[in-house]
Amino acid sequence: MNDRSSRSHSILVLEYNQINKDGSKKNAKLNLVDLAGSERIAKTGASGKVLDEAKKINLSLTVLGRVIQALGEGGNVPFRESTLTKLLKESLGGNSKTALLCTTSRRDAHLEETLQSLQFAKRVKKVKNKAVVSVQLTSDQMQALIVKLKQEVYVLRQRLVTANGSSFDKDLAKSDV
Amino acid sequence: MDTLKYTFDNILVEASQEKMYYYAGQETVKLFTSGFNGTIFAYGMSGTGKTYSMLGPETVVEVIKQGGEISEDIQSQYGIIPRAIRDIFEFMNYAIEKEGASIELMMNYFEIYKESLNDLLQPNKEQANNLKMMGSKVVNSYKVMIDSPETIFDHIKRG
Repeated sequence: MNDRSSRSHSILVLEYNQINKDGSKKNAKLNLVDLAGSERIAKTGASGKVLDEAKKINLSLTVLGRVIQALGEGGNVPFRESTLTKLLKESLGGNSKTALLCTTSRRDAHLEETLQSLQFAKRVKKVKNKAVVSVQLTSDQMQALIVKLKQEVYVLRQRLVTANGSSFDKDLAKSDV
Repeated sequence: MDTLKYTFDNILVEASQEKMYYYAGQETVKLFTSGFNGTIFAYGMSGTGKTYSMLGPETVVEVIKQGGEISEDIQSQYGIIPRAIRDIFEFMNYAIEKEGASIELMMNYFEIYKESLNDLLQPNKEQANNLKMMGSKVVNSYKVMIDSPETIFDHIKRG
């Protein structure tokens, strides 16, 4: 088997906090994840201690696969069953813009692993995340936004009145927003 | 012979590191600096280029580990992480200089080995392994402030 770096998952996390001149805030988190090798245990001829290690390494990857499958096709999502999926819960099907880069070999000897990787990537593609921007406005900015939205509602109600001409809508146009 | 068909957003064959970053990294990094959480995963069997794509070839990793001036030739071999760092700092410097924003960039670096969550930045080795989690938050992780791309490289080197 390869050296430790390919038998462990490495996760670099960057946290970004910005405070603008007007007081508004913006923050986000970026995970850069280099997963352990996804090859099958059988092929490496591992036994004893190495096999035990391989099983544990595979646990996070196996659970990751099951999490991805559940997210794409529904059902109970087993986030809590491995350290990796616990740590990256938000990145998987949550509030995150997530990209998967899948590397494969072109050698015939690795066909099985290549197919397995492609299958994994295909499942990942089915997962839909809901990423939302995290910007906190100051109370002044919020006030301004409320005024702007109120004006917009007023204008739209006026338009409704003009379009329908009913008295009910006229009252509506006058009502406080 | 059977044919299996798969559809992906992009398929790169013997592509440059620049292209790899363009297709697999840049968008997520740009969104990150606009306030969106992001994640980039590298998945695949050993020896197919996960670390090559994320960090760069051995030579880049070695040069980063040595520290100091980094030649343009080496920079062209940068993987996604050093390129992301370069882009993030370019954006940060712009926002700080042109818009008067104040920005703080923090870094954590973990390893999961045999299901144990280890802190690669924790200088106290006794506290570095088997970190506890509250939900998906890591308890007592060793977080460092980043003020230049070099500091990140320095921490990757120690990790």
